[in-house]
Amino acid sequence: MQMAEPRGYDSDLLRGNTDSLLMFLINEHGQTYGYRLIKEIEERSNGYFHFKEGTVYPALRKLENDGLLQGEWKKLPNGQERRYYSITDQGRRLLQEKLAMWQSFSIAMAQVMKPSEG
Amino acid sequence: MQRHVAAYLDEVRNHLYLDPRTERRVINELSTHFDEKVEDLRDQGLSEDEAAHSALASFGDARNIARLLYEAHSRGSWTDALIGCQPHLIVAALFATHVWRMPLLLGSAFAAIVVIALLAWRNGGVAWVYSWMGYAALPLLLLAGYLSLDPLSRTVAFVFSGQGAPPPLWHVGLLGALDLFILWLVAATAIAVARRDWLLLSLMLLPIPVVGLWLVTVLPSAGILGEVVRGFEARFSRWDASMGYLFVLLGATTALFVRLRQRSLKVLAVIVVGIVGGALAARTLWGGLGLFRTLAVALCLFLFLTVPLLLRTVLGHGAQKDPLPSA
Repeated sequence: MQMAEPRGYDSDLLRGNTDSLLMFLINEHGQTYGYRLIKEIEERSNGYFHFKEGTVYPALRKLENDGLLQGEWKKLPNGQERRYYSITDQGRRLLQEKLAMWQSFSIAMAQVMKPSEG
Repeated sequence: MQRHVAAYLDEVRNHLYLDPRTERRVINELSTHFDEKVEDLRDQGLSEDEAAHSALASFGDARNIARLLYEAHSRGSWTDALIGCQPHLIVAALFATHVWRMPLLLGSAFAAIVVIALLAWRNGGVAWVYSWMGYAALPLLLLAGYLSLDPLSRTVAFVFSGQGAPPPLWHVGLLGALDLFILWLVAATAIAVARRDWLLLSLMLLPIPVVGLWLVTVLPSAGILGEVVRGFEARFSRWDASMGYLFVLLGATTALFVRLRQRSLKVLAVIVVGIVGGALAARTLWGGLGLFRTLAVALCLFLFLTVPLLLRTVLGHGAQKDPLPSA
């Protein structure tokens, strides 16, 4: 996923974790859609993560084609259709693995990078 | 819908190269996003135009989004790859076992290919159908040519040298109608494929140079097809192993094409293997060609394989524009 502009972090860092981010939020909501995900990522990160919005949809489609998400069209009261995504069992298992990996990684990073005593 | 947004979505659609059903769904999803985004921005006090421009600016470059969406959808499964390379492997097996000399088995193999291709085409959207369609067109075109050969030569002989009798008018009419139907069927299919994605038409055309070169080498030596299969001579069998390997190469390329995500790599695979395969076939069948002739053959093959790109440029996308939800 591409970033609009660098905002104090290497965009590759986020690119490598976009799938986890999307799957995490979808798992939390049970079922949600692209625009809501984009807004929520910006809100939760206080605007720190700022996606080029169009790149969220290819990421969602790829996760869906890989069997990690499931998409479903729902008709809105105004007649429009919106695609809702939910996480599959396979996606949930992968998310758990990625979360565990991320936690171990961030703990190890923090330990290595803390100022040495003495 | 705001015209700038509609133009943007058209630009995305023109570069998606996906099957119409997926394409429609993708565009609908993006359209709904823009509707909500524009509405949110208008609630924040922006005008309709300002909101549309802001929504587009934050969405990203249309061609880049189309490329990413293409890559999200373009990879077929291993099953698709396996089925996609089957027609090449069937033809490779026909050469490797010399079975192509047996009219019944040869006819059965191609009849099966035509039936499977037509059923898969009707089903629509399957990633592996295009290699089958290429082989399905071959026997139809050969049939049209073969059936026309006799009446055409009789007519030409009668008109230019006054020899013999021309074929009856009903005979010419019937064959003409059949030929026109076959040509229409093949051309309409080719146009439909090119409008979706010229690269898929190039994939369909991949075996044509190899088969065509073999046919133009074998047929003049042995007469028309009936004589080739009836009175097969040893001199034709010496090419069977090489032809078998070439079709295995085409099969492997098709499988690779189905599995690749990046469009540029797909283009490279089809064009390079199409040129190399055709040039190898020419060198095998016509003996040592020399550098200049090999380059000339390679240039002809390049032009042949990129004709679909020209066709797509002339025809345009051609997809029916679905009514998109308004803002």
